[in-house]
Amino acid sequence: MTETALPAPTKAKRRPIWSRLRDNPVVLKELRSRMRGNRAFIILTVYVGLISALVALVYISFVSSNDIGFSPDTRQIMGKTIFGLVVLAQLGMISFVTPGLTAGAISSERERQTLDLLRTTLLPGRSLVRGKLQSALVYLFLLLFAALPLQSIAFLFGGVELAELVISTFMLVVTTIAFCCAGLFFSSIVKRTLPSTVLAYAFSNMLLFGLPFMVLTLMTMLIPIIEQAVFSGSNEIAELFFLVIAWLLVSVNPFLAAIVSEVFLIDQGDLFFSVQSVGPFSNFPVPSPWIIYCIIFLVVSFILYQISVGMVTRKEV
Amino acid sequence: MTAIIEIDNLTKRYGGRPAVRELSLEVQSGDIFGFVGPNGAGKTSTIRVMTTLLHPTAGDIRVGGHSVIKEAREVRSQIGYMPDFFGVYNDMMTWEYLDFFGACYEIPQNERKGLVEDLLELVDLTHRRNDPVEKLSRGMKQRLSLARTLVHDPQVLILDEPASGLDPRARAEIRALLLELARIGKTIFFSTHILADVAEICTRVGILEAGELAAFGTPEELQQQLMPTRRVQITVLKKLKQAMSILNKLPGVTFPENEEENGNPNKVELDFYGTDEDLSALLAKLVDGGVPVLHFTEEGRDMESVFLRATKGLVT
Repeated sequence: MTETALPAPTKAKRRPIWSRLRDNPVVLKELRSRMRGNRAFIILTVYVGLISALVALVYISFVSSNDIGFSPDTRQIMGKTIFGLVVLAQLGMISFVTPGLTAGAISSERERQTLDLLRTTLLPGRSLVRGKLQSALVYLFLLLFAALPLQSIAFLFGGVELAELVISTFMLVVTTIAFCCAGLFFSSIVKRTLPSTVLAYAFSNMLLFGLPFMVLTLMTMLIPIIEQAVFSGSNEIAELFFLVIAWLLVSVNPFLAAIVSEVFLIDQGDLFFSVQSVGPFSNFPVPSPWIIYCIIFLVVSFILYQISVGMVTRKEV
Repeated sequence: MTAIIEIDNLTKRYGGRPAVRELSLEVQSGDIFGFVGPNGAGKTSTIRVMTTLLHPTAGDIRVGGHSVIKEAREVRSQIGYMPDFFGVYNDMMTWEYLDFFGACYEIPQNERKGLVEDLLELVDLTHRRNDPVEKLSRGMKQRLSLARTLVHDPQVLILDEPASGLDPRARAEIRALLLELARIGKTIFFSTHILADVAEICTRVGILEAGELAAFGTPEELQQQLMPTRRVQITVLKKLKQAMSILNKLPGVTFPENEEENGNPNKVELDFYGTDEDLSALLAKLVDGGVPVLHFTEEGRDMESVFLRATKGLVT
C-alpha cells in the first residue's frame, strides 16, 4: 500500500468579528428583533436629532453673544463646550437606554417561558448571556458612534485634543459595558422584568446622579473636620486618607472622573497621571480618575457578567 | 428492543416534601410511552430531571446511556423537549423560530434552510412560514413547538401535556403527528391527562401517583392487571330470580359487594372472569333457561377505568 501524504495543517484563518458575532444565534435573533420595525430607527433619529439640536443651540448662543467675531479663545471654549455637552448627552443616553435594553434580557426569557427551552438545547448558558450582552452593545455602540461626527464638530473650533476624544469615547464604551452587565445581572437574579428594570435604572441613576450628590454631602460634612485635623496637628495620615477616599469617590462616577481628569489635563498637562503632595509624601503620581474609573468598572462588569452566567447555567434544585 | 430511557431510583424532594419517590422504570426504543397521573403526582418533576433542567435529590436518569447528572450535554443532544406551555417568541417569523433553535443545536447555517422547510412541511405549516408566530392559532403553535423538538433529529421526544388546551381537531392532528414520528423511529415519552389518547396511541403506560409508580405496562397488560374481571349489566323483562339462579351456578361469576341500588328491579350487575367466548356462552345459558333478556352490556374497560382502579387520589 502506498501512503498518501496528509496535507500540512493550515492555520485557522481568523474570521472578522462580525462573522464571529453571527455564530451566536442569540445575537442574530436579538438584532433581528431589535432592528425589525421602525422603533430602532426612530430612536436613532431622535437621538441624533437631539444632539444636533444641542450643538446648534451652543453654536447659536455663542454667535449671538459675540457679534464682532470669534477670538481664538472663544472658539476654543465653544469647541470644549460642544464636546463636553455631546459627551454628557451620550452619557445620558447610555443611562436612559441601557437598562431598558438589558434589564429584561434574561427575565423576559423566563417570563415567556423560553429560558427552559434554551437550556435544553446545546447552547451554553455563557453563550446566551454573551449573546444578550453583545447584541445590546452592538446597538448601543451604533448610537454612540452615530454621534461621533457631531462630537467631531468641536475640532473645527479647536480646544479639544484627539486624546480627549479617544479617552471620552473609551469611558463611554466602558460605561456602556458596565451598565449592560448591571442590567443583565439584575435580569438574571430577579425573576420578573419590571423589578429588574427598576433596579437597573436605580443603579444607573444612583451612579450617575446619586453618587455626586453623596460626594458633595460628604465633602460638606467632612471638610471642616479634616481641616481641623490637618491644621491642628499636621495630621498627614488623615489628609492622605481623605485624598484616597475623595479620589475613589470621584473615580466611580463618569461625570466626576471625566471633569476632574480634564481639570488635571489643563492644570498639569498629563492625561494619565496627576502629581499630588500630602505631608511628607511630595510629588507622588496618582493615576488620573478616568483610568481608575475604567479599571473599577471593567472589573465590576466582569464580576456581574460572571454572576449572570452562573445564574443562567445553574440547575434548579 | 433496548431501553433508551432508564429511570433509576429517582427521588426528588422540594425542601422536605417528596415529589418523586424512588421511581424506577425503563422505556424501550421506539415506544410511545404515556406517563399518566393526577395533578401533583410528580410527572413534571420527572420530566424536568430527564431534560436536565432539574437536579435530582437521589437516583439518576439515563437517556441513550447518558446520565442526566454527569452528561447533560449528551442527553440534550438526544432529546427534543416540548413543555406544557408554548414557549415561542412572538416577534419572530415561523421559519426564524425553527432556524434559531436549529442554530442553538449547532446545525450549520447551510443545512438549516432545507431542514426548516422539511419541518414546516411535516407539521403542515409551510403556508405560514413567513407569518409572525403570534398570528398562529394555538394548534399551529403546538405543531410548531413539535417541529422545534425535531430540529436536531433527536432519538427521544419528551412532551409534557402536548394536547392540553387544544380543540378536538388540533388534538387529532397532534395525535396523528405523534404516530407518524413513532413510525419513523422516534421514541416518544409524553405526559397527559387525556386518557383516550393514551389508549389510542401508547404502546406502554406508566401511572404515577404521589411520586410512586402505581402501574406500568402495555394498555392491555394494565387492563389485565387492574381489571381482571369484566363488569356486566343484564336487564331482564321478567324472571329475575330465575336469571339469578342460573348466574349463581356459572363459573367465573361474582356479584359486587356493597352495590348501590340501581333503581331497576329487573337489572343485575355482575363481575365476570372469562373470555369473550365464555361471556357469549353466559348469555346463551340465560336465553336457553327461558330468561327474557332485554339488555346485556359490558362496562367499558377503558383507560379511565384502569386509571381510577390504579390510583387512590393521593397527592404528595
